[in-house]
Amino acid sequence: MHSEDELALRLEGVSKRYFLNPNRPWRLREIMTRPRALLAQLRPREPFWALRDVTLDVKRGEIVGIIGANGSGKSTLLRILVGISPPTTGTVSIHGRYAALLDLGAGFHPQATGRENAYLNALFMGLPKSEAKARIPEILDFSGLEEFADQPMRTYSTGMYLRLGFSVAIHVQPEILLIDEILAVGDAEFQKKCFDHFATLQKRSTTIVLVTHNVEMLKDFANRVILLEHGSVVRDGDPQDVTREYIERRKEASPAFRKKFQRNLVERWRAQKVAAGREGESEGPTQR
Amino acid sequence: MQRTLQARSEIEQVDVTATRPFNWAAAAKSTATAWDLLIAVTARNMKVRYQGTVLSYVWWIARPLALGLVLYFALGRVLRLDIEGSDSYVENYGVFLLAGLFPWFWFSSAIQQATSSFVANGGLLKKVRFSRLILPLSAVFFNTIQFLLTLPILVIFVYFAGIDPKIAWIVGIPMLLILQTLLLVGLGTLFASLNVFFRDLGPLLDVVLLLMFYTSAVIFPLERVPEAFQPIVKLSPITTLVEGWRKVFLEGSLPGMELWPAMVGTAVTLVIGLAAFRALERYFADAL
Repeated sequence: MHSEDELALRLEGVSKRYFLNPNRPWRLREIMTRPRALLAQLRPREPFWALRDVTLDVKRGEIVGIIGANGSGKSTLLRILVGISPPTTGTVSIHGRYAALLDLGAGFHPQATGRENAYLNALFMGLPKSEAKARIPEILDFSGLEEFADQPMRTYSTGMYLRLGFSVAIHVQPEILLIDEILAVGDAEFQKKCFDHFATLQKRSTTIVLVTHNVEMLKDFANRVILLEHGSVVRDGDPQDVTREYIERRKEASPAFRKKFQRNLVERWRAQKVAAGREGESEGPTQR
Repeated sequence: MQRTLQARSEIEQVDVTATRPFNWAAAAKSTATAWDLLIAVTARNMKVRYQGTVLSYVWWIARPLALGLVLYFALGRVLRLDIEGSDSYVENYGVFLLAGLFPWFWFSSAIQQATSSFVANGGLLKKVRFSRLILPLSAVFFNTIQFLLTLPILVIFVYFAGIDPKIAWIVGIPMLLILQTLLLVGLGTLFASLNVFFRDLGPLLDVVLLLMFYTSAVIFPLERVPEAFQPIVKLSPITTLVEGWRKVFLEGSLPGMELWPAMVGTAVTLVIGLAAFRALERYFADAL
């Protein structure tokens, strides 16, 4: 049995820098037609910090939610955690076998059947061949897609992609499960099934890191929520408190936006009214 | 839940690649898993590629056979390479052509597919962590298997040209098969890695392959090349490989030390290719 305080994930001073005017890929045409383009490569490029000095410890068995507006660095954080892209500074360590579900249908081939894709996806997530084969029935059972298992994936709906992808990810029996915002495309029934399953996973002291906008779900299921803003952790703690702050911050940020939005709406409504009025003149009395 | 966020005034540079003791058991296990994945991906690609085409096997062999036919007409008959008594007579020119074209088609299409393998699977590389080396490897193996499956056709042509199967085939065919596969693995990995950052490599490669086709002794015997050009033609590793294939199939003898350019080329490209892959791999996700 793992001790309570054992670490699952650790991020120390992690920052990620992207460049706003990336000069890759190098195009031969550009170099030929504008040799000065080569000089531009020497010029300092404008950096964009997708993550700034993020330090984070996640203990084994925690269910951690990550929330934040679009572009606040949630997906970048997951990608760095999983080791797909390297942090610019800082250190990342992940302790234990993990499965990551960062995108719907990553690794799925539309021409191959659901069963074939499930098998291959399990291999992609690091399962040995024999185990992958043995788990296929369970995977299909959880996804509720047995009926369509031998149909090519191109015939599947988005929700069905999610069902299969999610089923594979949890049946790889990861010690750490990382999921990026994709549960939203599942129907209410399947979402509930997923969250119920998280409880089972937690009993096995599986660590779950979940990016989502579903504040209510986080309040019910997460032990801890982290709020990201412009690449920094601004709040980290109790789900009730952090989600409340998230909603408040959104409200604070919104008045200017709301005003602009309303102005746009009014203008559009006027334009429509004028158009409707013209039509009305030709067709007879308009209804008010 | 306590707050684990630590305030830090400035971002410090930390080495991300922390050295850990090398774990042989874990390495062997992950190699085995990667191998399973490689086989599964290659099998899926074969299945998907020729699914829905009625004459899949015919299409595999149609290209080298069609090219063989027109070249036989143009060079063998019109330019009289296959007419006994003419100055440029080459014994068994028809089979001579095919014994060069089959390995050539394997070589060129494996290189082209391997080169685009990372770029074509960008979505997967950005979302799933797995042994990325399997992508160029699977492109190479896919073509190796195709070549193996078309070998019987070549054997039939050789047989009808009046050349009986020889014992040397049992050693010669696997030897050249392994050598050419390793060469392709080295070149494919190198080009695939560079192609992520330098996308002109694809079209550039098409041109280079076109030039190589006419200069690598695929359609003419090496000894006909004027003395002054011999070193240049021999520089191309495919030249010696094609000569080797011909020696095995047409003369029934084993190629020996004359294979050295191909061997050296294979060793060098394997080292450079794997080194380039290892150095560049971590930046793939951000560059794609």
